[in-house]
Amino acid sequence: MGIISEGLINLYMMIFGYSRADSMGVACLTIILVTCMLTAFGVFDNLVEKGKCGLIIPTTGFAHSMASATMDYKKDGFIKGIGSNAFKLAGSAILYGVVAAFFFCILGVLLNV
Amino acid sequence: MIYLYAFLFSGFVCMIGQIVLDNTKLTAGHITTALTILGAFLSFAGVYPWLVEHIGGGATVLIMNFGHLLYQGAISGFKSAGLIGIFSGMLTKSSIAITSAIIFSFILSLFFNPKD
Amino acid sequence: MSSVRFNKVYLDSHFVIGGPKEKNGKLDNFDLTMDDYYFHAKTFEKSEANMQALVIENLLINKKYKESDIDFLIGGDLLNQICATSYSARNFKIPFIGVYAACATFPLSIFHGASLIESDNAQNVICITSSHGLSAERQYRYPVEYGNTKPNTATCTATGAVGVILTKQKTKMQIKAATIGKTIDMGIKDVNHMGAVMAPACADTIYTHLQNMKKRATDYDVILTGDLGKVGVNILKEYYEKVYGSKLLNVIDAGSSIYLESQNMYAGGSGPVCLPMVLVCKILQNPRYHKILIVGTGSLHTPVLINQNETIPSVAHAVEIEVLS
Repeated sequence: MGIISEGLINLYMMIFGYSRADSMGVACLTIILVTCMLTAFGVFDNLVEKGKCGLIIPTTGFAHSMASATMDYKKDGFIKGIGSNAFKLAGSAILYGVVAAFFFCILGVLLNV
Repeated sequence: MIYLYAFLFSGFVCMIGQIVLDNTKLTAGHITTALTILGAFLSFAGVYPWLVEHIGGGATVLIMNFGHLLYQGAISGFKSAGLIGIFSGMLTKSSIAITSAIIFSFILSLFFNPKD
Repeated sequence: MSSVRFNKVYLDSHFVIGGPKEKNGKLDNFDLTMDDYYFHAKTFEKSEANMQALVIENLLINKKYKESDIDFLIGGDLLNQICATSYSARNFKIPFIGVYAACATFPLSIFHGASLIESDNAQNVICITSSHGLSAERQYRYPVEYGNTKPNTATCTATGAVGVILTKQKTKMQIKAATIGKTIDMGIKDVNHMGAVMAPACADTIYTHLQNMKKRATDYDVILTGDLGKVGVNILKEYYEKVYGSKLLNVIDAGSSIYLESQNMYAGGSGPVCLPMVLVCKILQNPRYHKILIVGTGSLHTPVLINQNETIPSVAHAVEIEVLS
């Protein structure tokens, strides 16, 4: 599990050519791209069986859930299929992340003021 | 050194996640959501920026980072534009993750079929 | 009384299609196998409907029957609105009865077919069922490519379709009786532990059948349960001994008999097709099994109510088959 994350860190450091903040973003993008591609090739679900949480918790989990959902519902059409189901699994992370960040932000503002 | 910390930290978080997944009825979705919220909280508590500073990629690769980016986006939005800034700024920092996930998933789904 | 005896009902012919994993497993004697999960169709759901239609076509051709020779088509599957069965049935001008009992669909459809034949309302009936690993996965669980990890008690939906013709003409296989089970809910919520959900219903139906028919478990050469899985069948034996006081020694679980250990299917196969697939490919092929009791075990769970925090009820139906020598 930790091994997977270390590999991801290496990737991040490799793109150090940009500024630190930018390279974080690019690293994130690369991870997501690789995850989506591996999901598309049908390989990622076998990897998850072996890596379990090690692959679900990082951003790879997020990208994988989106890629697998869009692939699966492709046959149901663009609007009803992909459109309605793309965020099926990732939706709750985004929704509650935004809600939580919002409340913490309000709290942060009130506490600082 | 930062490699070692990255390895240990992400390994640790994933291990906790694995223990929870194996021993409770919670699904992967529950865990990722909980970690996102935790990330936002740690960001609020000022802990997460310290983690990113010292553990580098180990902290940015996890889904907790997503919560962290959401919070940071909201706070910087508030600083620049007041209350409205919370809404306009929230998704700015995490845009890379969300946008790339959408675009790559969509494009790839056009060409590939599920197999198992 | 929940058991019905039949005197005039016989099993005429059968046709079985197996999926890609099933053909590489423990069973042989498939009439047809699939190389992939799409089976010349565009989606998994359509491929399941195609499998069923192919089974019915072959049953008709092999016996040189016309559609008008079949009085009723009775069947079901796991999908919403039993769509695989309905969309297969639209290809045939045979009066269609759709039934649902999850993985106990096969014995349920035999019960209906046999009752119609016994009451002289039908001469020939086709009973059919199917399941498809990936269409079930999409509907009940997660998108197909999503690497969801399952605990070892989980069973995996088998892929295949099986159809049989029941008839009034005498053949070597007679349907002697059927028992319709009661729906039992033991308060279990874990969708990854179907064996535990279904074992009590299975035990209840077996016991009721034996009581009503005034028989003992040892009167049968084999009791074939549907898809309790490796874990579930042990739960059944323990439960039966504890609650009814006798041992079930001659139980074979269909779900556990399909896959090899190396195929990594956790606790075994599940799905309505498990029971008829093992019945046709293994039990009926073996000349030492004469008195057979098949017990289909169905877990009546639905994702909607599970998400609303409900428990999972289950039902089991039994059919007694005798292979005459």
